[in-house]
Amino acid sequence: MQAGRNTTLRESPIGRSVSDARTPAKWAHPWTTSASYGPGGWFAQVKPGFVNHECPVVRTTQREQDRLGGGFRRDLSRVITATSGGAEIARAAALSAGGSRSGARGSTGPIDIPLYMSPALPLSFRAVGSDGSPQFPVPKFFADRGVAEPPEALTAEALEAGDLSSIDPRNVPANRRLLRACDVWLHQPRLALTSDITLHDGPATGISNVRQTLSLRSAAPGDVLRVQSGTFRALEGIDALGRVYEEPNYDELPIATVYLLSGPGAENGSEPDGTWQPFVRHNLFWNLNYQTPWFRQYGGDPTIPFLPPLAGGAATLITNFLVASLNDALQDALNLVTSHSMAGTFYTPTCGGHHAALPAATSSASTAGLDKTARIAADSQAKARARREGRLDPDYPFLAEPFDPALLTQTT
Amino acid sequence: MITRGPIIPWPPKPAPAAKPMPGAGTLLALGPGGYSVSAPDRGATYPHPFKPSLSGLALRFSRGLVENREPTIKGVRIGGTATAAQPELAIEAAVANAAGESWCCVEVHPDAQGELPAESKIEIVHTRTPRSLSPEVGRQALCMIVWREGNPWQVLPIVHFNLRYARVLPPAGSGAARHVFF
Repeated sequence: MQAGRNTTLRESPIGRSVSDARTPAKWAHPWTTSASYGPGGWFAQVKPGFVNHECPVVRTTQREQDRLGGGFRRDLSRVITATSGGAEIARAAALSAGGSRSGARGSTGPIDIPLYMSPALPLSFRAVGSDGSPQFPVPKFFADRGVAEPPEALTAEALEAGDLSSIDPRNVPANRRLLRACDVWLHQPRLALTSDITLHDGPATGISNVRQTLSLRSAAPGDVLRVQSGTFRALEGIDALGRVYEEPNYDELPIATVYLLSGPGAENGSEPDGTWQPFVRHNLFWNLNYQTPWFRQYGGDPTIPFLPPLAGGAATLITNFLVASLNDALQDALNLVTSHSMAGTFYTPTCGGHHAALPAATSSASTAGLDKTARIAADSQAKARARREGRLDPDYPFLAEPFDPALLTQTT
Repeated sequence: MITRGPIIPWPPKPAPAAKPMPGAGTLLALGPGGYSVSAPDRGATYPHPFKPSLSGLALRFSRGLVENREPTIKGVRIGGTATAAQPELAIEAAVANAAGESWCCVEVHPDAQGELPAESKIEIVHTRTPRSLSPEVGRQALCMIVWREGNPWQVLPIVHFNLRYARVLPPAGSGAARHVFF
């Protein structure tokens, strides 16, 4: 008889006794992301979180799930306990029956698997640190563990071309560790605003009228609330004066970043394998509500006069007036697009709290004063701050997406 | 009167080796080194407001507040009272949608001004439509129930905090009123 996981075995004169050695685990919040290595490489699994009442899906194929070999397609013969066995059997049965909420059957057709069925999410990593792009800084947590900052000479272009020759080997410590990262984010489809600007002849020669038409574009067909992985890119700013401007018809929010840390002395450009150590930094900790704004009719003057410059700027007064008009037109167009944007808002319902984080009280006491109590408190807080900075995730109650009070305008 | 029990030899004889059997929540595996006993990880619990607990085909919810009022199930406050036990919400597989999902929601009935007066009902219901399009009824999903073969397979909590509520009217001609739980 041997002690397995979570048990202890004691020998006594009357035989052996098996005891429960489980310790209370840390509470796994919604969106808790874990990384595993399987026959198909690294994959992530995300604990179910919710947006309003909906559980996001992972859009995948049966073949991909088979290749990754996560818990979703675990060999049933290995399942012995009744509790996990029931879950595994239900998962496998649902998959083989095409039990997705939408999508095609078959091994290559896309299927949408809700997060509560623990689908495997494939991860594609980017290099961070000594052999990575300078646009991705190294978090302090990993700098403390031996990951070096990217060399200044290494440009993004050279990195894309796979040219690492600019890294001076004399500046690379022998025990360096490499870092890879992959983002996991939430994709929420929505309506999008489109803006079309046209020029029309004005009432007099040299005067034009600018007409801006706003309309709505629906979400992409078949697009659903889902979780994606890769390198997250925040949406770009608004070009209100673009002739045709179209908002993206989705909102996205990062859930977590999965990091892989190599052992000391790994070769630059190495592909991560099962020997690398996974870490996860979360951005989401609580379930979310999501609201999109109403589309409102424009209430201002719909015609924006635009006067092109006259006579090489001979008349300063007129030129100033024209510049002012141009600025007004730009600002009006920007305001129009911004105020009518259909971009939604994610927030965590926290009973009216603007932020679910409880900041630690900061002491203004000097660490060098004569007040011993204040010195001890300041030292303790400095240690707590250093401990927080050295971690990837904050402690409970974590952080929450703030509630935007603007959502309460026009309340009855 | 003193009675004497059987005399137990010391040290006692080891019990005869018997084939071990796995008990509740344990995993017994036989390998080259003999039997190995393991237990699954202990799940951490977190007693948050509106925490659902399933027993059979009924759900109980821990105490939680909407606008500082405690919702009810069958007229009894969800945390129970001095005279009434914690109420149970009966759930049925027939309520689930085609994907095998149903929701338990807190349902509010605001008045014409969008307020929740003391006499208005705040109750928990089991439904397949967790969103309300009616201006008179607001719903916030508290948990999702995933059904398999007529049985609740998973209960997933959605709300972890007490809630506040406001009804927001749309601009003219822009649709229906919204129920904002925050």
